[in-house]
Amino acid sequence: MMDYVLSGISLRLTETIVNSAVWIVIGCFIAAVFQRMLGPEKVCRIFGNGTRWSLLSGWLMGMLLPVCSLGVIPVVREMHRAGVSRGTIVAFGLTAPLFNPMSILYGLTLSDPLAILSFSLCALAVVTVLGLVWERFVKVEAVEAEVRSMPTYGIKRVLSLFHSVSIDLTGPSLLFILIGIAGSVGLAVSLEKGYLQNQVEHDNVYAPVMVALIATPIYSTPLLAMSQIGGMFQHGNSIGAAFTLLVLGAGANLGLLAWLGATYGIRRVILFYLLLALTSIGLAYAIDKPLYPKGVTPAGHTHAFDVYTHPYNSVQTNKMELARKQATEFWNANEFGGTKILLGLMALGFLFRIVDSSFDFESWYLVEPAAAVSKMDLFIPGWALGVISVVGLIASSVFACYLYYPDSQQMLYDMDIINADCVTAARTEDWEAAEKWIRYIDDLSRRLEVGVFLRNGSVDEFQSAKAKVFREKLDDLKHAVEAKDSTTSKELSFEVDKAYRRMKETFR
Amino acid sequence: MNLKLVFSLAIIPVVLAMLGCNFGDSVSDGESSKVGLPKLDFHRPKSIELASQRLGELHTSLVSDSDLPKPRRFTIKEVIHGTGASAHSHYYRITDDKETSLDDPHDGHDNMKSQIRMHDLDIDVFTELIDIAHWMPKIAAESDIDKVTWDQIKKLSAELHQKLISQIDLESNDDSKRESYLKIENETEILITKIQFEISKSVQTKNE
Repeated sequence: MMDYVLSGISLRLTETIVNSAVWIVIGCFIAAVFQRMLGPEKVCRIFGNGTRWSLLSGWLMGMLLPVCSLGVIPVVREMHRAGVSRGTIVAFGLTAPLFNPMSILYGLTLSDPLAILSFSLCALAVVTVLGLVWERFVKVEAVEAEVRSMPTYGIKRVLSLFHSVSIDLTGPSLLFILIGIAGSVGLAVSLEKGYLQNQVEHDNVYAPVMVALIATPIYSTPLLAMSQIGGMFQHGNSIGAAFTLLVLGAGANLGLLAWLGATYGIRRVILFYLLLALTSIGLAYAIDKPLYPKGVTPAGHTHAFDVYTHPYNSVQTNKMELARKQATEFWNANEFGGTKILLGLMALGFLFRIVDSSFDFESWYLVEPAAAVSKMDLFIPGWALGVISVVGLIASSVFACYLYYPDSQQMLYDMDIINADCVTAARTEDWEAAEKWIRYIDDLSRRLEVGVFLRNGSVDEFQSAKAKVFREKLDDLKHAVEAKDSTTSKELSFEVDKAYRRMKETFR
Repeated sequence: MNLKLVFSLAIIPVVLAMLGCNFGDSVSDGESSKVGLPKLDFHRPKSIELASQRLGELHTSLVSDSDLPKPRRFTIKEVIHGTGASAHSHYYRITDDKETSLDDPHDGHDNMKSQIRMHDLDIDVFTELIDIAHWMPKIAAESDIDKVTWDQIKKLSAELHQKLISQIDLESNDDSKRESYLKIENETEILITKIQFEISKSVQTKNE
């Protein structure tokens, strides 16, 4: 019994931490820029405080800034300290985890663009309703913006930024983030493997509600959520269920709700959550039929929820050993430094806290440097740096799209090698390698389409059809490899290879 | 900050995790959570040439004076793994010339309790015709057909599919369906002929 729980916790915890680390760091960085570079007044101005555009500003900034539902926690805390209206905080806090430039691009190639646009607008509708209600009808004491002097120019300003990031990572933000992580891992362990695989079909009228009941503790990055939404579209699953998974699953989490409750009171946050759930479910039903993709044959199941459930069956043997092995593999395949940076900054945070007791950093940041100023030095105001930082972050995420989704020639060069490895592994009965390469090349084939879309504005239907056939053959091969069926694997490996070559021809 | 609230909320994930402790071997004999069969594609032609040929055969059978062909019967074996919300099924076609594949033992299924159900799936000519028209682009994408031909096949098959689904009510009886089909006989014949022409042209080019 204990090994069932511990094996689930260890694997899902590793996955959550690796997936979320870089987004948490980015969220803390954004909060630090707001605090140290912009200041309360400029932050309120960016978010249109006191104007009719405040909710829209919150939604728009949420769409552009690359944070997840955990990384948004330090940002909303800072927005609250700066005195941004609570409706705008809600609009930003719920939108940011759902969309960013990278995930939108990914979604556009997986689903009908109209569907993604509709999802975005429906998400806007949800946050607008919530923001308005939260702002107008929920009475709370007005929050006075924290009065804080901006750090002086030069290296002290940069250091103050790192100070804020690292302190945030060892303070209350960390507590709420840990609650969010614990909620997601706890849910995964409590849901048996395969839960909801067959319950979110288009013809199941209760699908959106069933998803809504379990979605909130889920943690998902915007990219992962979008790929799952796309998968549900492609498998002809319930569109309403896909929408509730997006809003309640990727958007909200226990950590964010905990912060809202701690800041505004538990009764208000219960009302908030009920309103969020009801609005989301209502919209889910409204868009379920109109957005259902035409020409799709329902698959009869979905794997969208597999990563949110327990990874093993209760009767499976060697769960702990398997968990250790898969956690290591996941780490090796997905850890690109985010977790190390996060841990490094946390260590720095603890160091700052220790030193803080004997050295007043906040006062030191305000003291102008004693060194003579050269005529070549340019004094850039903090707010300008702050705006440049935020705009730079948005620009970086757009630039990152071009890196993450390279052009077709570059991608095909890599895919040639992976395809050969995949096919060889299947034929030589190297089952583990085959499974790994199948997963990898499946992802690359999707990124190939996104890369073409990014550069050309569209993907030809013929190209998409070939890519889809290739992925279906990969799926068949995957089943044969999992079953360790040598004969079928060999046959299917030839079909996969043929499908790959046909697909490659169309993308040249 | 209300620390009491924060720690109260923090208990929720712990409770959720503890729920996992209650999951032992809770599998027991039960029913599949799915009622009826999902849409299956055992009647899908294996190649574009076969699909083209079959379209012609179906059309001929519908416009002739003979009785409608009997529905094609497929015997399906449904293997249900697990129970409740996590139950899922695999479907296998039973053929006379091939030993039925047993279950694919992936992801620890060999340790799960399974149930087997047998189904007889009847596909009538109308359903088959509509399905093949719908599948044509996908079947064509699995071949070496070039883009221009594929675009044509997609356009023609989409038109054919649209005509069929708007004209034929699959809930009505066979006579009624046939009568509906005969009303659009000429149009469907033209479309099917065009599709066949495109395919044969492409195959010929490939052979040359």
